[in-house]
Amino acid sequence: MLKQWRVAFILVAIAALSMIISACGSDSGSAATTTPTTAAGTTATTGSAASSGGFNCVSGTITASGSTALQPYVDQVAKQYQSKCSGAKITVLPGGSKKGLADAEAGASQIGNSDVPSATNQADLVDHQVAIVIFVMIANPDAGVKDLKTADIQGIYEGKVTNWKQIGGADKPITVVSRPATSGTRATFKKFMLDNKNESPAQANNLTSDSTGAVVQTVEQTSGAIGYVTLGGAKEAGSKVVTTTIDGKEPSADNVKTNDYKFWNIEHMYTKGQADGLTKAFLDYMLTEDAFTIGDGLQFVRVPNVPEDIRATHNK
Amino acid sequence: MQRAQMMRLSDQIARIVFLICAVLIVAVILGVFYFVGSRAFLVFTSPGGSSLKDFFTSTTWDPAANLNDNPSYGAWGLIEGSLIITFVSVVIATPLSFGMALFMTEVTPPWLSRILQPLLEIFTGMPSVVIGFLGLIVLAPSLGKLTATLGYGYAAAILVLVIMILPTITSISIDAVRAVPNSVREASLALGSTKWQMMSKAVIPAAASSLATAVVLGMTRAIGETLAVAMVLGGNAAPQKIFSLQAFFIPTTNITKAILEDFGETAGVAQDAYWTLAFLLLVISFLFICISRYLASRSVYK
Repeated sequence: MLKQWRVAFILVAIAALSMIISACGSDSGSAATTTPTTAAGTTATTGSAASSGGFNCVSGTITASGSTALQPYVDQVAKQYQSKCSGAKITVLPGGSKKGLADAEAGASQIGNSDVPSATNQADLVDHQVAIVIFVMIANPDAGVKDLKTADIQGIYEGKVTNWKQIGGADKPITVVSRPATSGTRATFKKFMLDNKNESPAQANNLTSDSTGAVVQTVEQTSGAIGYVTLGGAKEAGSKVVTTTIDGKEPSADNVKTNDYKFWNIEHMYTKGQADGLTKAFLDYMLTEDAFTIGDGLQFVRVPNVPEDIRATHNK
Repeated sequence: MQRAQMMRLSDQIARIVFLICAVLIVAVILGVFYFVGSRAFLVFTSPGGSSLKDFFTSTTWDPAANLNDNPSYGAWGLIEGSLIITFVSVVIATPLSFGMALFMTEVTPPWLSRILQPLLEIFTGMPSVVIGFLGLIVLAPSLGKLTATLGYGYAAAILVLVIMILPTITSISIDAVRAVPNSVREASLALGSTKWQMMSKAVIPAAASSLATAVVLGMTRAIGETLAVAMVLGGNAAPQKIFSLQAFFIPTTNITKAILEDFGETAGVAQDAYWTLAFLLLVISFLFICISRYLASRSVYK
């Protein structure tokens, strides 16, 4: 008797499972039938975009590797490019800026994504500036600060300022959140906010988080914490952390254009020698309205919006 | 007649399959050792690399030269971190696990242990990221409140590791104690020992070699554990005064955390330095196994 019940139960389970599977099957089937029409729709619109000089469909296979900060942006643009240009296959891999540069130099990937300029011994790498990323200082709301002076930030990260009340905040000890030494964000912070000095806060008050999301999470849950992240990362956290102004300047595209707000960086895509074929077509596509729209959503600033001389001095 | 032939054939096939499996295991182990080992010594030989002495005595770990102009390869702080959290967590977890194993086999009624054992086995397979996440969100902040520190550091990592290796050691210990023949218990009781004397003087020594294996498996899991530990260590350098209570509540680091966070961001000689760390991990767990084998070989019952 019991055995019969078991058999019945298993049969019912199998029937239910097969129903789910077949439902999924028909689902993907309908998706498959709709995809070509949407693809055709977008190809039609790109016809006009191509005439404006950005989109150029070249088939082939390329790999872009490197910066984790730039990766989501390149990834999304690559997906869009591939949906318009079915012969192209673009793989985007993370791994860090230094790895991106090394990969491009060694020919392991066609494009090296990097937050930092190439090293002096990588002179044959050609720079393509594709986006501007804004970084911000975030603090736990209980710190009681809305604005930080550059000198305050340096004091905090050198271990001289250890309580928020020293710089006009609440009476709370400061917990300093850093990124690991290999982080491109940390290098940017050191270069533009710390006058190239190393971070040296007391170890007992210094946490290290290994990604933008982890820094936001740590600052959010640690009383009196401060950290540095991309503007996009801070925006996602909403009001759980306070995004401060620096020297009274908002972290905005307008302040980056004039370099009144100094904590920003240029995102590079390097190629070994001049780009050609699909690599060139894709890099051109990175500078089209389609790509910029994706970048806007990820809080990147469009490269042409920042004057060339400002970029050049910043890049030194 | 035909049936006998069939049986002989299947016997032969089985033997070949087993042989292939055995060869495969050996090949994989040797392959891993060779692959990691062949890269492990590059950092000592290539220009801009490290000297053997600096690697094991200095504590500034910066192979990619991100902090200073020149790279430094002092791995001692990382090694220290891995050894401390492994040993302390094993020292805490071992008596607890043995106690639990004895409770489950010698004390508790069979129906209860039938409920408890599957629970334990679920814990053995608990993904480390889940425990690490709990450590990050629950353990570190509450440790911080309790000690008026940030809560990250060796202490948090040790607690996380105890939770992770306790089920492993316990569940293997249970099997070890169960495997002790009943005649040992009967003989001990017949000589007039109490239940506790029977357990400590007869059952545990009889199970010693399997219990040692349990501890070693816990240890190797602890030394290699990465994600959960990295999440609650929270720092990037070893504490200055290692032999103080405060050192356990300072954000710090260990071998696996360094590899996890920085390996992918490096290239060239800097990356070779991480291969050296990886090889070191392999060697340390290999040593653990050797030690346990030696201890097991000294067991009274063989």
